[in-house]
Amino acid sequence: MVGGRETNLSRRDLFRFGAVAGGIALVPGALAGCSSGGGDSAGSGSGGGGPVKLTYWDTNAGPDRTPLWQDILARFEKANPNITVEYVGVPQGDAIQKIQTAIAGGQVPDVANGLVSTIAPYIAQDGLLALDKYFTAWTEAGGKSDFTKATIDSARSAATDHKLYAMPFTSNVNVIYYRKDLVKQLGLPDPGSSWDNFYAVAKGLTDPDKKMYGFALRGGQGSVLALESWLYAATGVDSYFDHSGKSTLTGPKMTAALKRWAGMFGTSASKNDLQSDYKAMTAEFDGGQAGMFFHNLGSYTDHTKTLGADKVGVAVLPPAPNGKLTLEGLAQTGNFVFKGTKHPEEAWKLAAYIATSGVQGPYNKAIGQLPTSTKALGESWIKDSAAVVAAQAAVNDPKAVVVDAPLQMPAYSTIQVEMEPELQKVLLGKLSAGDFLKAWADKLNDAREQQQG
Amino acid sequence: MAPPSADVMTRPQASTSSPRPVMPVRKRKRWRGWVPYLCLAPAALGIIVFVAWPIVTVFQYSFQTYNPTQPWVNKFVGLQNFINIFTSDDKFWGSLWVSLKWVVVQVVFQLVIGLGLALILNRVFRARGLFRAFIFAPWAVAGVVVTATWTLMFQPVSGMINTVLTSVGLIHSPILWLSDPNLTFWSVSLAELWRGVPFFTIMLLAGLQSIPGDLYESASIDGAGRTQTFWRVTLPLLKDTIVLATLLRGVWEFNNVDVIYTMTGGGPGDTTTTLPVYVVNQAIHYHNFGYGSALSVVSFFLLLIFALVYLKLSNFGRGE
Amino acid sequence: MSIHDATLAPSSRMRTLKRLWDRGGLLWGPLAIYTIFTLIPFYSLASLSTTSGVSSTGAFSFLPSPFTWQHFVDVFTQYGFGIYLKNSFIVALGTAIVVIPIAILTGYALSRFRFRGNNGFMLVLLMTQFIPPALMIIPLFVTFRWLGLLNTYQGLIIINAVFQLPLAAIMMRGFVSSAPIELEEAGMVDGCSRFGSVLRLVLPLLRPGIVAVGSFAFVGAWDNFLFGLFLVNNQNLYPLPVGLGYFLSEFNVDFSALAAAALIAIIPVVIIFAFIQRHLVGGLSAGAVKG
Repeated sequence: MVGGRETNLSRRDLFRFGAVAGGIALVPGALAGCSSGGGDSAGSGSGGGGPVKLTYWDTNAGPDRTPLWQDILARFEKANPNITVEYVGVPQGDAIQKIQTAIAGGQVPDVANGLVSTIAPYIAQDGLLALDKYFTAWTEAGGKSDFTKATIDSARSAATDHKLYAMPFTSNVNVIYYRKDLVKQLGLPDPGSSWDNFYAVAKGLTDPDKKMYGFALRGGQGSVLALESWLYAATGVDSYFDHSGKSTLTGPKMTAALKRWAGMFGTSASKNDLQSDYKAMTAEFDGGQAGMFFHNLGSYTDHTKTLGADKVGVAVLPPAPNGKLTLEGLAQTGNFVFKGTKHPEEAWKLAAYIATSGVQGPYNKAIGQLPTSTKALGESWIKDSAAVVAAQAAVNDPKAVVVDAPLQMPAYSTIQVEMEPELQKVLLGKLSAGDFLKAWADKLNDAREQQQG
Repeated sequence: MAPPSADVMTRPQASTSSPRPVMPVRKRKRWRGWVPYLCLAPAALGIIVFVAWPIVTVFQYSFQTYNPTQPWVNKFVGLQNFINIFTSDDKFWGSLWVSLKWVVVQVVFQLVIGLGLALILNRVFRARGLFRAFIFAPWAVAGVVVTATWTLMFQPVSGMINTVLTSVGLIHSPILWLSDPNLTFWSVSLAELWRGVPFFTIMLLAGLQSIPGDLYESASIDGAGRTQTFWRVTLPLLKDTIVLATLLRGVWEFNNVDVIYTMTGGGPGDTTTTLPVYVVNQAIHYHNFGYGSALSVVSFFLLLIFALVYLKLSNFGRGE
Repeated sequence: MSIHDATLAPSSRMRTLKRLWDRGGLLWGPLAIYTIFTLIPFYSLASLSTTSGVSSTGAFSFLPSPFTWQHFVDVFTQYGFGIYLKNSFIVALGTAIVVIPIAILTGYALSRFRFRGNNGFMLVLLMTQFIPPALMIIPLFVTFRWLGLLNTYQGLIIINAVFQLPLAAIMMRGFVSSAPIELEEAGMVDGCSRFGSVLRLVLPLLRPGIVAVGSFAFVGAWDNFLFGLFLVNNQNLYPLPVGLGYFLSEFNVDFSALAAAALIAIIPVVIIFAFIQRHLVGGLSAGAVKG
């Protein structure tokens, strides 16, 4: 529900996992025992040497991913016979609140996964353990050397003290999904080649008779987050704050870009998109009512399953008029360890295990996202995933400039959520684009001052 | 049905005239002084242990600018939150207005329809039990399911409502039930109505049961038609039940966050943001817990005043 | 009624019209309309849950085609639904069982006794409903931690009971007020203790009220999402509303399975209702009533 990019999962054909999951799902439950769990610490067991029980929270739980996790945890337990892991799946919409409540209430699990962009609040609540000393000591082959400095720095950017609070194991990028077949059929240009071309495709794919619109706008939940990457890509602005520390969201370029985007409302995009969240956009695209939409890599396999790979094209946002490809950095998901854990060593072990190429490789392959491990990035399946290839091309493009979001500001994602109703007013014509951007920038500036002051 | 109470009714008269010692009249209403408090003890215990402290913390936070994710802004600000609410927060007044609309629409419609249904279901007719089960059914549906179902039904292209309307030719372009700013409020209201009517139906039906049949008989002997009987006999006797049900339902609908939030997120714009939705947004989603608590305190007092005035004006309990 | 008709001496045609209006217009007409309105969403659930291929769009079709039972199977195998259903049942039933006696006790005291703080207590009960529970979660969490109630059935039952109790007690107060006090007095005159006479004579009259209150408490707990989500960290204890969240997670949208789950969840509750609805009626029949 709250900010942060949702990681999208492929709806792979995991029916064979389904039956197994039914069995495996019950096993940790039986191990954990029925009712009276309780107790003060999340993980039990005597310290040092004796059997250790860890609790692992999966914040993106669902029938597709849970079996994957059960599998990973089972293998971890096998490799570490004195450790048992209790898996708890938390519905994605409420996960952030649940973690914050746990930290505030004093009963936390040992390890949890989540988007790196969401952990700043937990750090501010003093709930997470810094992992630096463990990471530096991770000298085995396939350990810390498997991760580029850029990857780890990206994870560090979530904290004001630049410490490593999350061990990333997958990353994601936002892309434009488009109906390859229709674009070809109508002789339209590649929507990712330039912004003018993109808008032309949006217009070209709109066919009121067929009840089809060119683009599915995101006006509902998560709207401002998506809009942000859009604006930076469209304007070529390459940093969030200028040298005086003020937000770069204001100015004629930004206003024009926002107006152009909002201009699609009611013309190239349905008016129903006012309230569209991911589910609605997917339904539109998969259902043939929208020709394009903007979302992250993770849903690629969903769409190819429904429409067929020959119909689903993937493009990174086009370069800006000034020639730069100003994309936001990769959105990482990582494992983080709670300060309240009684078994930091074992907790780190689990986080590290999940990040090793042997584990994250198959996981990323299954869900269709980008690995963070250099070794895994070299695997053969990478070449076969159109989405991943597109994303990689963008990141490696010489024109590319990574725009780093201020992840270390807890207010960053909160402000995006606050601005969502205001964005709806812009779409409805009740608020000017300029005023919207100014309000947004003001909030960011205020929050930044407060955090630093 | 043998009316046991009819027999018993005659007893007190008999007993007062007998020489048998009988309890003094005043003891009818007051037993040993501590008995009432003993009866209330379990409820009081539950409330003190679980509810008292959380409510107190909400009041405490209302005087601070507490933000759990940005500890550097936390400080005590006295009444500043409240001053801001009343003087510089347009969204507060907007949400208050939406809340008012919501409560009035829900309670009035649910009451009227619920009353009508209760009267019907009170009559004798074939398959009555079956119809009762149907009518009560929406209420057995978990809230999450209600919102999901109605949201799907309201989908502009693939949803049931538009599909049906289009196929019978009533509309030609999809109605945007949940994204048209003028319509969304009413769409959500419809879903909540569907769900809430059974509450009134059940309450009023139970209330109707306590009206003795001979009252109806004497009314019809006196020549009263159905309508007259309703206004002169049924309604006055139902008054307390109605007052109670509307008060409880009013408070409940006022605080109803989940249905609205899941169906519309409070949007589009702020058209379905009621005061509690606004409170939860501020306190939980924007992490302005202090400000959100202050809003909640304001809401608390508004409800309290409403309850007091309502009970007073309706002479609740005096009808006894 | 026949005397009534005779005094007006209408023609028999008038009489038939009257009956038509009375049975048709006032009874069957509105009843039919409203029943259809009530059942429409159930129909859409039935259609959605038995159609294959619309899981991610939730699109409506008049007749499910292609028809499938697969979603009902998926609900149990892929989503572990059986566990959530069981948990909700236990918690809801437990809540109703706890709430009913306390509500009777409290309602009786508020109704029958004149004592200081009577109206005040009723207001206190109401006031517990004035603050959105979402704001009280963290202190509740802490309290639960101290009492060792996290991750337990008893914890969920207790907290749901505490939050359902005020409404239940206030409703019970209303029902007790409509039961004649003469009954208890007569009972006491006959030698019963007050408690005994209440038990034997008044409770049976309160049956509709008890059923109403119990079912409200049951449904209230059945419905509750917040407590089940925040006060439980064990996946096998999640109640239904939390479990249903998995169907609608951000990336995996399965409307058909959700519809199937919804229907499965409804059926037992409706059956219970069908049985107990009898008790909602019949009871305080010929008894004299005050007010």
